[in-house]
Amino acid sequence: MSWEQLYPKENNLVKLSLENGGVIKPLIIPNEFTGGTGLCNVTIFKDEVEGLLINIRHVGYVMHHVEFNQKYWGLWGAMQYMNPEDYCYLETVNYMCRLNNDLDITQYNKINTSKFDKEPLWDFIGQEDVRIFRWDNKFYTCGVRRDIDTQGTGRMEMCEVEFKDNKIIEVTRDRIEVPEEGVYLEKNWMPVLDMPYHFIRHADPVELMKVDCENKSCVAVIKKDPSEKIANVKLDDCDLRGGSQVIPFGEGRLCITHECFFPFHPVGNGKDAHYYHRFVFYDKDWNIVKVSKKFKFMDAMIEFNCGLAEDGDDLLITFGYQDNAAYILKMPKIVLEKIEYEKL
Amino acid sequence: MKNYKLEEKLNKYIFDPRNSVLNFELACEYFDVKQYAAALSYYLRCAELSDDDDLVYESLLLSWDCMDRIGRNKTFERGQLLHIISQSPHRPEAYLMMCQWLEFNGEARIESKQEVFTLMYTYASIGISNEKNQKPFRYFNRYPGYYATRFYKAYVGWQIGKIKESEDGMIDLYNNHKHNMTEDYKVYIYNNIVNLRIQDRVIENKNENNSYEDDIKNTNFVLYDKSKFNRLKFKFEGSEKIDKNYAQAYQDIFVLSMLNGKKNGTYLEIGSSLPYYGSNTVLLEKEFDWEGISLDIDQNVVDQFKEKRNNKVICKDATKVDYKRLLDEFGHKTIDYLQVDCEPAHVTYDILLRIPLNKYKFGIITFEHDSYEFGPSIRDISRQYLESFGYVLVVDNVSPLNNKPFEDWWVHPDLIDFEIINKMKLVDGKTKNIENYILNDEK
Repeated sequence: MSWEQLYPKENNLVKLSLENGGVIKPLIIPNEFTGGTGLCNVTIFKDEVEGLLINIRHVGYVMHHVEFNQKYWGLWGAMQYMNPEDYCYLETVNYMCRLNNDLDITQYNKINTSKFDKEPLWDFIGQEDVRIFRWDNKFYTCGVRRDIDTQGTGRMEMCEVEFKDNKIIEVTRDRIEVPEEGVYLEKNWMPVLDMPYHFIRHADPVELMKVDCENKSCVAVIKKDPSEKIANVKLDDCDLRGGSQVIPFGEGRLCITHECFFPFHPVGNGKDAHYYHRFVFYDKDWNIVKVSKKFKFMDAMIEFNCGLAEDGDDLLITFGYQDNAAYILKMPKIVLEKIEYEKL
Repeated sequence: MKNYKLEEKLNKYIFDPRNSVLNFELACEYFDVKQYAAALSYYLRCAELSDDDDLVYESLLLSWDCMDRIGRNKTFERGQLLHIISQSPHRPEAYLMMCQWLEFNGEARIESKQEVFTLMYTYASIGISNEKNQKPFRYFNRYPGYYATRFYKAYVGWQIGKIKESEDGMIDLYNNHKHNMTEDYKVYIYNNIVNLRIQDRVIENKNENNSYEDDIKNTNFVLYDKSKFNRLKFKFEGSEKIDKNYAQAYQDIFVLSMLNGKKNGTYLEIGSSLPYYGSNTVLLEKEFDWEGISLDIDQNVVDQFKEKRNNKVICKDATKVDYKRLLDEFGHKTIDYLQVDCEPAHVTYDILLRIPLNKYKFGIITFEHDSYEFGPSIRDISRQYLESFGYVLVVDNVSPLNNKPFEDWWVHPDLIDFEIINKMKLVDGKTKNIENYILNDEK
């Protein structure tokens, strides 16, 4: 399959949004704090108490990833994570930021996680791809952490954070164990914003989990039968993986999911990836009622969404670009009527 | 936080994301604000999308520049340079970058010094043979000109036995090309001529007021005395009591400014030199009751120091000190001031690498890179290194005069008041006449 087939030109959600009155903004934290390495996978929440908040993932690496014809590989392949030579870890720190009405960052603070931090035991360090939300008047981050054992076992961690004197402090950290034994990695669970302590673990077929932080466990309250998987037949057999939060929308709920395709390279390190996204609409009983065709945000091979918020006539959507840049899109809701949908 | 130019380029990109020039322009905007990871992605897209060999070449050079500034993996960077050379082997610029890479990284990654020199000589020779193919860049600014590659060839030629060719090369550059050069290269070349003891072959232009030899010798001091008090831009606590200072270029006044005249502070002074003349720490010790440790390699200097100063001084080669142990014994978890000032610049940098910055934080660091003499390489890598430990550059390219950038001044934001940082910060890439920075105009 050629790169043109993998990579259709006219499916750019940001372009469509701008054509319909939308706005795109780059999200930047000064180099003095980041050293110029990647800012990516950003999430958003419109909070009644704190206003418009985003969390930007800052990674300690740079992703060198060539696209299109891929003529100019790095030394080891088409895609590689470039760490410092003497520190080969994929380290994440999180910056909570306030936005003004123009979607410009007015304040940024590294979340202080020192209360619970321990010596990392695995190469992936920190809470990754955080989603932010408020439940029962408490503000949470939720993302995967893999650094607590020597195998890199990943579990979602829910952490309450407090805003104190311009500081953001993690005050609880609860690792969510899953009912099944031997599961290696859980990630990208999507918090259901209007259902405290509920997450979509699998978007299709739906598996809705209720989390018990006190006991650090969870239970499936809805688990649709695999035969109900929409993507099996109708969407080229793809897996709809978690993306944004799940927000109440109309009579049902809305989220953005992602799916991956991994091109094969017979030489080099073999690493490469294409990510696509879709809008997924659920009815109130968690049946999938509408799925958009897959799209890119800004035409990059790797883009990753983990934030969605409703703001009047607009949706606010946040995403990372090639693990090296972060953006926020204000998308007029009318765009939802202009994008193409799958025939289910 | 708004960046109109970046937003404008981003919007243009959105409507034509496979336009190589728009990718390049967006990358340059990210580069301008030091967001090198983001810039890298767009430079790589430009290289893949463009049919214009020159634009591809420059995009790849800039993608290397991004990686070099972030400082991730030197072996990877070498691979990038090889790709760039193979993309346009007839262009001269990347050969110079490869010479510079070998100069600073070769010894650690290639078996023998002689092999490094031979490789440098080979790349420089190929670069020179392609001089005629040099083209102006849109944005890349790390290729000073053909003379830089010629300088490398002459410099390493001597190391591999081409003595006469090397001497002739240096003399030719100085006598016939110095008017095309940047100041730093003039100084490098003259220094080499002095080291080779071939000054008698230099032809000075009699119309010039000073020879470069005069200029190099002219190491001015700029000193503070009480008469300048009203002109101090930042009147820190206790500044009114200072009769005079001793540092070469206001380093002591800067340290006290950043800490608002702190009493009983702490320092580690590497390369202390004399106890009073030119000392960055004597004012701190004598008038602000600071405690500290000084290091110098010269026993005579150390003897004078012991006679006239109360604080500790150690006579030792600073490149061989176990700094972790020294600081553990000093017994302070954070230290207010670190001076790193040895000769030449690469030694100063090697010493910086030995200091356990992951264990100890320093409120202020003055780092002598002598970029006016040794070029920007040490300055640039020291910046990447200190930034990686969270240090913030407050004043860049400090100079006692208008044209001799020799130090950068840093602070750690965890230890220094944010408002003072904001007040004192002046980082614009230009050389700072330090008196103009510390003092207001006489009017």
